[in-house]
Amino acid sequence: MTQPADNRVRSIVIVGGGTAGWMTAAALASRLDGLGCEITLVESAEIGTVGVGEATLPNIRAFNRMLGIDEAELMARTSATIKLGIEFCDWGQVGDSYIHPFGDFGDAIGAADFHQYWLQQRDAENTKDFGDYCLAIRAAKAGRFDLPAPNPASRRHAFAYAFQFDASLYGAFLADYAQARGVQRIEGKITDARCDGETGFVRSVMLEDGRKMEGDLWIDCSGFRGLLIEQHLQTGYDDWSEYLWSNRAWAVPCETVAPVHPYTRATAREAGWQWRIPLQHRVGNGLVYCDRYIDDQAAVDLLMANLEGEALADPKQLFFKTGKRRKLWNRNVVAIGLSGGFLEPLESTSIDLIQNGIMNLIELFPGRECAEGDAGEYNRLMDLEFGRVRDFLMLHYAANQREEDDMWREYREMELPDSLQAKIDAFRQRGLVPQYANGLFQPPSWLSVFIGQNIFPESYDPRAETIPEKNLSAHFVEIDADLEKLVAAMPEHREFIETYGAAFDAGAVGMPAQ
Amino acid sequence: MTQESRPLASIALFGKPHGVWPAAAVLQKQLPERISLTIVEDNAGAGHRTACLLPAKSPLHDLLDIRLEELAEQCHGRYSLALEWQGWPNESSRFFSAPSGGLPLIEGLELHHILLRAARMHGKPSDLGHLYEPFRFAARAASAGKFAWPDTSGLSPAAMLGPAAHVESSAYAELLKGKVDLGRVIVHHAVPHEVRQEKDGGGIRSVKLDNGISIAADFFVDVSGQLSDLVGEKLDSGRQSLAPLLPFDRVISGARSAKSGSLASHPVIRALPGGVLSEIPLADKIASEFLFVSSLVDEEGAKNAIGIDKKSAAFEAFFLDRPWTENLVRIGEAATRLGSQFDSDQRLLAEEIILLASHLPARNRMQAEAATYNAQQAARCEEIRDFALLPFTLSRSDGDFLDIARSGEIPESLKLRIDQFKSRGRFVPYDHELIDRQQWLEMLIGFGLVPARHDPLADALDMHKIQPALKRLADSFNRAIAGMDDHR
Repeated sequence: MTQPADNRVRSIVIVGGGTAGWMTAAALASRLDGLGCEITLVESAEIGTVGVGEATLPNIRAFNRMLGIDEAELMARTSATIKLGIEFCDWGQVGDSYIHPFGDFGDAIGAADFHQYWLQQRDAENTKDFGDYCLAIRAAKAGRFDLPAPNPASRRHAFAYAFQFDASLYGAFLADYAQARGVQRIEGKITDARCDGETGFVRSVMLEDGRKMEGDLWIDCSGFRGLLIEQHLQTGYDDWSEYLWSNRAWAVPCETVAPVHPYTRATAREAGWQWRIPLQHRVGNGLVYCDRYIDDQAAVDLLMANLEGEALADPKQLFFKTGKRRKLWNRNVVAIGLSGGFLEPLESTSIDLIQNGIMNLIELFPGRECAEGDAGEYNRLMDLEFGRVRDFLMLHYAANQREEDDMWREYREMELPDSLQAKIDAFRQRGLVPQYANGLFQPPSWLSVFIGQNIFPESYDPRAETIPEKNLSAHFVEIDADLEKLVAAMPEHREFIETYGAAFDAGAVGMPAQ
Repeated sequence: MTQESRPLASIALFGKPHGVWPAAAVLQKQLPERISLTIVEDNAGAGHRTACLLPAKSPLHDLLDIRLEELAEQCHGRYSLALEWQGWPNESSRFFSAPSGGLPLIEGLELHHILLRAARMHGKPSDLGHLYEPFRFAARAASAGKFAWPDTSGLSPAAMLGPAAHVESSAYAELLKGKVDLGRVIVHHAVPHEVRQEKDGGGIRSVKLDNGISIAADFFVDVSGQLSDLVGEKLDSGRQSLAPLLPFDRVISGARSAKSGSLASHPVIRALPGGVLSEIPLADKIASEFLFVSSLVDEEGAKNAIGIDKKSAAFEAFFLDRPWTENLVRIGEAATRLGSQFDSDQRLLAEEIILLASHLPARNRMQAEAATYNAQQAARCEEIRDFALLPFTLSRSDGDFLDIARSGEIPESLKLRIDQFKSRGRFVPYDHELIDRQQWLEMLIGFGLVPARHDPLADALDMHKIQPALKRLADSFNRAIAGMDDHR
């Protein structure tokens, strides 16, 4: 006897392509291989996709590894560049700049954390900026990159990396992967869904051309509209626009004119912020804003006036409401991607939240009855992650000293959720940073934003005083010198891409050669 | 607190020797010399346990350069690989529970999912525990009367071992006291008698001792609960009673001599009518503690249970929601009392000391440190509490106190863990966990939980191919156990 035979999920239907749909399809095809589970993805070329996120977080590499994807091939197919972090310009005050890196600051000196020693020494003559003690930041600024060393004892081990890629090409790459592993793609537009009268489970959908599709488990990747999770199941949406006010964006690609940086840039503007994501063959740009503070025309003018190269297309406008679905898993429908929620593009969390949803689904993969316990646990985990990400994003807005713009002033004065206020208080008073094992943003991330946006603790860990100042100073000098050597030994970013075999092959994806 | 903010200059610790000296040793080692330490030691001796279990992985011992291998010699103790549960989960059963490292995943799946599928294929899901047994390496080694130190190279199964030292509490306190530079601390042998608080009703300003001396400090650490009793509800710590789940209201403890050869090689937790008896073998004696329900066992019965003529004391299992309020932090017995299962109290004390060291206030305003400490301590305490409650929750024995314990409402965190395991064999991970995931799994399975489903991904495995891999793993465990020394 295996699992009760009639309880196995035999068919999964993914509603919607795009990044979320094809990531889900690829992961399920890989992990459910051998279970006799039929996976179908239905998408309509007519509807199109938002193409969420071009910049990623280091976790994406674990996802790709799980699928057995060759990293260099992926980079070549998606025009990917390396991402070592995000540079934030003008967020604390106009003229400020810092990088949120994918790596640690300093290393172990004594009982206290490195930043506590730095806080103690920060006014000393030879002490450099906090970011100068981070290899990922030093390499990013120098435009250099090499793979982290495998030995955990090496300083060259203490960083990670992600990619800046063309999300639509990533979707296409995964579509090939998934279809090669048996996922069936159906072109069609869903016009209606039928639910079980007793359980409320979605049983079938009707396509515009009259075809009917049935499934045991439904993954809603239909974007903001939430075709199944909202339009049919009326799950409800937790509106977080009282916390994160941005509700619109303009996006436009432009030509590459500068060296291709191994980092993303986010520049604060009067009523929002502008992204700049360098790929191998173009630069992705966008302005995220709140329409209470700037009108659409002024926003697009601001974006176009701040492009570094010639625009390669007309700007495209996006509308969104920050928040999350009340239940990301409702009955036999799991919402992944924009249908599940959207916080905003800051810190590139969209793809990571998709990945999180997929991994939790695999861990909690249900039987056909979709037990309440499975769904409840999935929703608990996703709520926890959404909440933590929300707090981290809000910190960027709340911790500002910009005087000249209404939006920034009002953000500074807003009442914060208790969970975030407690984190800020803990850092402001004694340099304590949030510690959790199972979250996306770990202490180096919080530290970079706190210090980068000028929140300095009133005091530091008393244990930091136990090391004589002379020894501390020597330690800082040694770290600085070692990082300089390590960065100098790295190849330039472009050179790394070429020697890694990851140069963009435009022809392979049907684009004009560069 | 409304007083002016200034750097922290003084700390006073209050407690019995086995609690106060570990805390003093860590604080002195980590703090700058400008912060003075005053220790008020209550060495009247009553009320603390004769023996304690000290786990192999201890940041506290690492910090103080204490090697586990030396502890037993210095503290009249012994070592063991596991605890033995007698009378749990059934009246006639014996079950070993051991820190067990982590088993390798097979094709990305935890072993119990594969074994559950195998058990189901044979129509006997209840065989899961039996099928799992060969893979319980540390528990099996202990059950076979074997002992070895963990293999630090990580190359053999012995890397999974997590031995504990069982030591005399008083000798352990002396050892830790020896780690303190007594020339740099002020020590009083006394108990707190009266507390003076700030005028605004905030933190503690000074504590008057029963010898008339008054101790003023910026920060007070209460390790025994005596200080907290004097403060009362003025600094509300959110005490939560666990009496509905651990229904014992009395405790009796002591030690009796025993010939070395007659002692068990490991601690035993025995379910008796009306209570739980724990016996910890030391070098030449056995330390016993009996937690019991006074309506079910009289004083004479309790004495008989431990075989020593001693008087019992009141007991109530509890924990604090806010162990740190204003400038008073409670640790050890002042913050939590769970009883002797797994030596939870001693384990928590060590964790609290380390956590306190990393949250020590820099200034006399310390709300942020308190809030962060309380949140992190709560997570640690919840896990240890849940682990201590697990045998009571899962036991199938009919027993007076077990019936009472099972009728209580178990904490949400434990309920979720049990429900997830019961329904689909999934282990729910939480932040700040102290206990091996493997040890949790072994307890859940060993106490008879059989998940209703296995991970569906296990259905994709070719069991004919998996079988040799499982056999190789079990064989390697068998060889390693056979090669270990006899514990005696």
